[in-house]
Amino acid sequence: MIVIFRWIRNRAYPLLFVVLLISSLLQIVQYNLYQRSVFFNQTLGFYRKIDKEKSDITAYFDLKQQNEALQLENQLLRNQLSWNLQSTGVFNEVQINDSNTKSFVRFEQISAQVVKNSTNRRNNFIIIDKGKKHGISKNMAVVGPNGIVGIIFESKDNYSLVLSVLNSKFELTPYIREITLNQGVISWDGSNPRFIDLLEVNRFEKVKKGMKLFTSNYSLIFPAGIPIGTINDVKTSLTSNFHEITIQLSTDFTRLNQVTVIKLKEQLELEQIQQTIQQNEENE
Amino acid sequence: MNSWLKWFFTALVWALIQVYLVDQLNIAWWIKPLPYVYFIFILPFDINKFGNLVIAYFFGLSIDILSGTIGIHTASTLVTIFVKHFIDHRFFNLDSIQLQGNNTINEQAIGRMSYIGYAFSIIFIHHFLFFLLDYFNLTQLPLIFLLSATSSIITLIIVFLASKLTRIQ
Repeated sequence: MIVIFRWIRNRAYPLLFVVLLISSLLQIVQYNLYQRSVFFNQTLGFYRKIDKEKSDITAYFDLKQQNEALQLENQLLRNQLSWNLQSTGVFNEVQINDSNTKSFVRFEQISAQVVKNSTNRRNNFIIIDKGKKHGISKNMAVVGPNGIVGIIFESKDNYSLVLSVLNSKFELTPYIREITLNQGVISWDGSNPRFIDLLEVNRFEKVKKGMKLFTSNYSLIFPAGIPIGTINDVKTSLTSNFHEITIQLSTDFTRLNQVTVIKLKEQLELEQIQQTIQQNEENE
Repeated sequence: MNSWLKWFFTALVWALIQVYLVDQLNIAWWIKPLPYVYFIFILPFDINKFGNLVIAYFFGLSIDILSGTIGIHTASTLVTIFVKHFIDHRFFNLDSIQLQGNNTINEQAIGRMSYIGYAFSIIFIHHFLFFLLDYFNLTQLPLIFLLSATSSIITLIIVFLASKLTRIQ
């Protein structure tokens, strides 16, 4: 016991340093959204890897039982097939209701003022002066007079937090009208706030400098046709399957003042549908 | 008591300058100076080393709370002060500096060129840690190096001017 106390007393200075450092690193992981997601994704990925290795090994042990189960299932399915062919099914004609399709995608617009905005951090957020009271909720699109700005990240009664395009969490698939391209992901690398990267566009696509990018109709948040920016530079290397594209943003984030929040009326339904997809993927 | 109050207000002033003045100035995307490091340089080296760490911790934390980056400034300031303590005791003859009437390592004590090298290396360590923790991504290491180098130079100039100003006073 005395030995332990003496050890602690002799090394009190580095020990205090380590304790304070661990406490500050824990704070970083706990309170900073981006750092937290990176940290937990990596640890989760590590555990998933171990799980996968484990299941790869254990999968061999019950191959025999699985074969038998598959044979049984095949038998059952074959029986069902012959039974199915004998029956004469009549398909019910599906009635398409016009009023339903007409009222489908409609947007409501709420204008707001920027209260706080940053462009000098890796992960930038914007605060606007409209909130839940004005009908703003999570995952709504935010656009400026020149183009996209971000997505509502959180909304309180009178104010909302917007996840800026200049944030590593922001991802969007653009649409290029000239070549009808609906591919790739735009994301910010954390350097110049006037430029953003377009990743994962196949190098056989004929992308050229000066082409304009718009939001695509695949997005569940942004309405189609809102400007994102103009292609500033296209690099193609033989070693990569993808173009390296730099885009000049149409919104100047250093001078952002007035924004519009776009509310998709059927957003709740869309989110519910998306959740069922995610649940299915998780179950698999 | 009086001297504690003085240190408290000095820390507060530097924290406010950092958050409400320097962070609001968008000079260029590759220049993000953190001049509050100057506070580390004016802490006397004869202060209790445990107190040193605790002061650095709460100083960093106050900037974090004001700028909404919980933990990032704290961790980088803490490591910097630990490294500075090590450098001070390893590379400088503190007794002779103290006999000359200095209680901090400054330009008069060690000469201009070595002070610039000393200050730049400590500032660079601090900035590098800060940007590393802010970007939190090792694939962006070249960008982090660039940002730390350019910002450190600007911070060094500010630190130099600040030390000149306090000397005049």
